[in-house]
Amino acid sequence: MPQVQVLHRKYADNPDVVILAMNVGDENEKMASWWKEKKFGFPTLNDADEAAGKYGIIAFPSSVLIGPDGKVLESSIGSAYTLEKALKKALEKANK
Amino acid sequence: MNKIQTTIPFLLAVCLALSLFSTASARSEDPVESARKLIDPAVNPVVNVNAVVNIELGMMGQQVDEVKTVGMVIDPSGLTLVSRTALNPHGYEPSSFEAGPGMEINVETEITSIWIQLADGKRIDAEVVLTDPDLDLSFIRPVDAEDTAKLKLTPAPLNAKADDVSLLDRVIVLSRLGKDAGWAPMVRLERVTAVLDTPWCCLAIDAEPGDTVFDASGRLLGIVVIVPAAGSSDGAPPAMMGGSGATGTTVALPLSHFRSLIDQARGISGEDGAKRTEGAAPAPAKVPAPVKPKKNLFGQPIEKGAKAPGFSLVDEKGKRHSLSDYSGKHVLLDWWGSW
Repeated sequence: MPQVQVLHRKYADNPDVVILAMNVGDENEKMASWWKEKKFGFPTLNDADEAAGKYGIIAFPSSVLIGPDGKVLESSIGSAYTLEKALKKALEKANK
Repeated sequence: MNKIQTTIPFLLAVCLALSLFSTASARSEDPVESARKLIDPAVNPVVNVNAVVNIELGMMGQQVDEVKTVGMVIDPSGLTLVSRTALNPHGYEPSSFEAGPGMEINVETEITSIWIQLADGKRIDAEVVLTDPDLDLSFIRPVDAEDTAKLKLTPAPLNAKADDVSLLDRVIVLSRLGKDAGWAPMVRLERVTAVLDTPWCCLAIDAEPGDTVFDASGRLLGIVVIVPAAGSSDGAPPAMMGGSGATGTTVALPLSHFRSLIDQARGISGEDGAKRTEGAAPAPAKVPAPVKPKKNLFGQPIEKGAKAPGFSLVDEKGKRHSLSDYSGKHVLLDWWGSW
């Protein structure tokens, strides 16, 4: 989680990038209090269990990068920073 | 008389031989002694790893730490696994902590040197090639390829599966003592106190980060890393709880589950240590190299090029987010749980 926070800070000003934390297996109440405490600054979506199933996520953390066309560009096991390179590449390509 | 004198040593030798070759007789033998015999061939790859870490603590000044840990050589190139937290106890992200009300201290760490300390006193300078903070793993390798020859280390074979070990099973923990003890290997027996399924399969045992763990038959299982203590930090890295460094649960990370990561580190390191990136600066430990396992044993996440399944979920502020809201943008989904 903290690694994705660093990533988020990096891309906070980039209108082309959205980072969403997908929270699985937590009670919302616990989540809410934790979130308040940590002040991540990016949306943390609760109850993502069903979506996790659709995305074939069974290891945590896992990350998925989706392109502007709504197609999966890259996925990996590991937190979001594991996809930073792929994100950079995709942004470069998009800005050409 | 003479006959008795020769018979007794002979019987002793037979007993010894039996105890060596029969697992059943392990019960009658000192269990630690039999464990030592079992893992004797694997003692060599377990090495002392030392590092000097520069810590900048904002207004609290600067500090230089000498870190001592252990690691496991897993490749003939000298590629060695260590616990990232053990190597750099203060190197966490985000790099700040609250020292008091309204007093936030920024922490910057830099590993200025790392070396593999051999039991014969030889010191082999090393560098970090790959770090995965989530798994708490760092891969280091000798800076000078010629040094790897000096290591003369048989890489540890990764031959036990996590599934082979279950709750309360005995495991053998191999470590190394410090300089005063001549960097001697230390063997002890521990029990698996918990089998954790999340965020990845690991086995809680009482050990130090960097220790090497074998199953009761002496097959190499994995390396000890630190995961946040359950319920204490809600998923934050252990070092965040204080600022004083590593706390949390020590677990054995079964390497059978992380082959692809190891292969990736090997790729960087070069199969035989000869294929090194020329002129490349050593990767600093605080910049995690991207980790993209080729395939995994848990199951493959969604394939590249597939249409991303839609979702509509509520965030912590009650705002609804649908994937379709972000059409035309790059969306990075970070799946996690705050275990």
